[in-house]
Amino acid sequence: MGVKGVSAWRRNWRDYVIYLVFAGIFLFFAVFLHDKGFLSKNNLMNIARQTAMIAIMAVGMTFVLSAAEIDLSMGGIVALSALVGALTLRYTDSVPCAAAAGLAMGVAVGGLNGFFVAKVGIPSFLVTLGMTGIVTGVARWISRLQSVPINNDVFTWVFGSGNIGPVPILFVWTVAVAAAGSLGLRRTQFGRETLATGGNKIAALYSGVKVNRIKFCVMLLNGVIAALAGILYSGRLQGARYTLGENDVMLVVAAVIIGGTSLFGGKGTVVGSIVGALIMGMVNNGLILMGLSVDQQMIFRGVIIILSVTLTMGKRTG
Amino acid sequence: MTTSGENDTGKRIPAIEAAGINIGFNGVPVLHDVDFTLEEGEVHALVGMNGAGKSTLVKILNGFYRKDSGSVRVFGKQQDYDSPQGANRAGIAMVYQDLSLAPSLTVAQNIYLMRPFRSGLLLDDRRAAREALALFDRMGIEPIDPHARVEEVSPGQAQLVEIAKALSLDAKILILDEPTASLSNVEIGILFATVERLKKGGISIVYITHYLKDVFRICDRVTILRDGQHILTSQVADLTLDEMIDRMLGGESREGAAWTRHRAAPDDKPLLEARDIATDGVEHASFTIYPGQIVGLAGLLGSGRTEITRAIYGLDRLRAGEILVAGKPVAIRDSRTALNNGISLVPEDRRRQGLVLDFSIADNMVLPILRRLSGLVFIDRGRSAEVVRRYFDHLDVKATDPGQQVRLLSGGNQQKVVVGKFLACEPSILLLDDPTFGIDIHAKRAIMRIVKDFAAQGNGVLFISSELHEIAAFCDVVHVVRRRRLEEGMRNDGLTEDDLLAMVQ
Repeated sequence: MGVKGVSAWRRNWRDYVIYLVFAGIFLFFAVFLHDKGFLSKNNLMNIARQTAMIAIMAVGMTFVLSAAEIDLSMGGIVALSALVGALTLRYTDSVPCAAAAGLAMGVAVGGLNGFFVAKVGIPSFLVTLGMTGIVTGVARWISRLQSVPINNDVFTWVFGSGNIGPVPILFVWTVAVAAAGSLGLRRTQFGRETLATGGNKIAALYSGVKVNRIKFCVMLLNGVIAALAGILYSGRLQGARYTLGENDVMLVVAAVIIGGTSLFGGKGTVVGSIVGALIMGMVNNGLILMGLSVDQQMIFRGVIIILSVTLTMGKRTG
Repeated sequence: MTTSGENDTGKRIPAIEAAGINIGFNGVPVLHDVDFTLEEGEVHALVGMNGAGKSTLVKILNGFYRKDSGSVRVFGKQQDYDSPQGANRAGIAMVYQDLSLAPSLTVAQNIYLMRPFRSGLLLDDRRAAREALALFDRMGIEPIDPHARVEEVSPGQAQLVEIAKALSLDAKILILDEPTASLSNVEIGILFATVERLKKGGISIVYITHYLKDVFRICDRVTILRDGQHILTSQVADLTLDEMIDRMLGGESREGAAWTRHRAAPDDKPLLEARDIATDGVEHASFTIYPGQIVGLAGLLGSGRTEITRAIYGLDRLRAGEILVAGKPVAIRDSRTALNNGISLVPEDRRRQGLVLDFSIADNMVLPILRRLSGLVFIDRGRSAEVVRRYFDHLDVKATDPGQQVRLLSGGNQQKVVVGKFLACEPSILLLDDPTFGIDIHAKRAIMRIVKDFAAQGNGVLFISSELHEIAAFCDVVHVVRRRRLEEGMRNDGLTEDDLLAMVQ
C-alpha cells in the first residue's frame, strides 16, 4: 500500500504542481517587492481586477481545450461584444438591452464557430483563425476605430466598476463564472461528455455521446463567455474599443495549460485554469512593480510561461 | 511428407534459414526453438491459430523484434539485423496487413518514400512515376495511376502498391501478412496472379493467412505453428484441408468445453431481427435473436463480421433492409438511438473504441448512462457510485478501486470495464465483437460467465469471436460470415471448432 501511495503521488504530482508554482511566485514577489507594496491591499485588489477577465475567459477555454478544440477568436469576440453592447447602450440607454446585444454577439459568433467545427468538420484552429479576422474587422468597421464611451452608471457599476461592500464586483463575476464552470465540468453530463469527447472521440461515440453536439456546444459556450468578458471590460474601462482583448487569447491559453488542462483534450480543471490566470496576472503585476520596461516584461513573461508549462506537462521521467 | 530438414536437392542455398528461434515477452516464451526454411523461388505458407506465433516469427525475420536466441541465415549469410531497415538490406521486405501507406501521398510517392529519386535538391516525382509504372509492368498488373493519391485507389490496388513498395527496395524475399483480408474476389485473383509472376521472377515469398483454401491455391509448401512451436513443414500437395486443420488445433485446445451451456429453446417474439440489411461493408445480412439466445457470427478478420455489428449499432448507414427491435421496425441513426433501443455494443478495439484511457474506471462505466444518472443539473454521485460498485464487483475487476485510471489496468481488466459499461446501460441485446481477443484465460472465463448469465435472464446476445471453439461451445445458432456475406443460420447441434474452421474459409 505504501509503495502504491508513493507511485500514485508520483503519477499525480503534476496535477498539484500548479499550486506550488503559484505559491513560489507569490513568495518571490512578496519578499523581493515588499518595499514596492506588492502585498498592499490596493495592489492585491489590482491583481484580482486585472486577472478577472483572463480568468473568466480561461473558464470557457478550459471547456474548449478539454474537448480537444481551440478558440483563437476569443479576443475578437471580446472586442466586438463590448462595442455592440456600448453602441446599443448609446442608442437605447437600456442596460438589459445592451447586455443582451453584447451576449447575442457571443452566441452568434460562437454558434458559427460551432457550426463549422461540428457540422462542416473543419478543424477549430482554422475556423477560429478565420473568424478572428472577420470579427476584428467588423469591430474596427462599426466603431470606425473610435472608442465608444459609456456614461451609464448602472451599467458600469454592474459590469466591472462597482463594489459590493469591500468586494469588487468583478471578483463576484469571476467567482460566479468559475464556480459554475467548475461544477459544470466536473458534475454535469455535459462536462463529463466534453472531457470524454476530448479524451477519445471514438470511444465517446461508441458510448452514445453525441460528439458533434458537444463540440458545437463548447464553441457556443465559449463565445458567450468571451462576450461576457467583453462586456465586463467595457464596464470597467467605461468604454469599448476595437483593441479590447486583442492580446488575451494567448494569455488565456497559457493560463489554462499551466493550470493542467491538456492541449489535446480529455483532461482539465477549471480551478487549475483560475490559478493559472492568477499566475499570469501576478507575474504581469510583479514585473511592472520591478520597474521593467515593456520589452523586458514580454521576455520575462515568455520565460515564465515556458517554465511553468515545463513543470506541469513536461515529459514524465521514470 | 517432406520436412524442412530433408531438402531434396541438398545443394540449393535457402533464401531464409532460421534455426532454433526463441523469443519471449515479459518472461513468457512466445516462440520455442522454431525452425523455418524458405527455399528460393517458392511461396511458403505460414499458418496457425491466433497466438500460434506466426506474426512474432515474421517480425523477427523482418527485424522488428530481436530474437532471444537462434540463428537467421539469408541466402546463406548469417544475419543479425535488429531493424526493418537491416532486414531490407539483407533483401527482405514485409508487406503489412494494416497497410503502411500514407493516404494523402500519391502512389509513386508512397512507393519511393524511403528511397526517393532526386534531381538536385528537389525530389523527382516524374521519374518516380516512370519507375512505378515499370514496377507494375514487372508485377504483370494493370498499371495503377502513379499520380493518384492512395486514398483514391481501391483496397486491392493499395495492397498491390504496398507490394510494389517492397519490391522497390530490391527485395528478394517478400513477407505477405494476410494480404487478402480486405480484398474482393476479383482483386484476390489479381493478387494471386501477381504472386505467381513474382515467383517465376525468382522472388521468394512467405505467405501468412487464415484462409486455408488460399494456401492450396498458391502456396508450394506450408509450415504450421501451434503455441509457439514448429509443428510441421510439408509440401502443400501432401496435405488435405482436414489434416491441416487437425495439425493447427493439435487435437486438444478443447478448453471451450468448460463453457458449454444449457441452450434455451427459442420462444416468444424475437428481440432483434435484421432483415436483409446492407451497408458499405456487408451485403444481404439477415438474422434473428430470440430471448435467451446467443447467436454466433463465425468469420475471419475482415470477413464483414464487425460491419454487421456496426450496422445494428447505428455506426454505418443502412443502404437496404430493416432492423426490428421487439417486433417493431426502428430507424437506428446513431449509437445513442441504438442504446435507447436497448442495444449495446462491446466493440472490437477496447483501447480505441471502448475506453477513454485517461478516465477512471468509474467515469468510463457511467459514460453512456449519464443522462439516467443525472438530476435536473448534476450527476447524482451516490447513484453513480452505486452502479459502478455493482458492475465493478459483478465483473470482478482487479484494481485498487473504481477511481483508478483504466490506462493502468491489464488488457483483461480493461475489457471487463468495457463489458461492465455496456451492461450498465441495461440492454436487452448485447453485441460482442471479439470480446475475448488478447486477454488472459481468467478474464475470458469471467466475461463468458457474465454473458451467459445475461442471456439466461431472457436477453439476446450476438457473439463474434476469433476463437472458433468459443463459438462452437457457446452459441445456440451460428451464422458463417464470409467475404462480406452472412449465410443462413444453423442450429448448433454439436458443431465443433473443426467444422467452423472449414466453413469460414
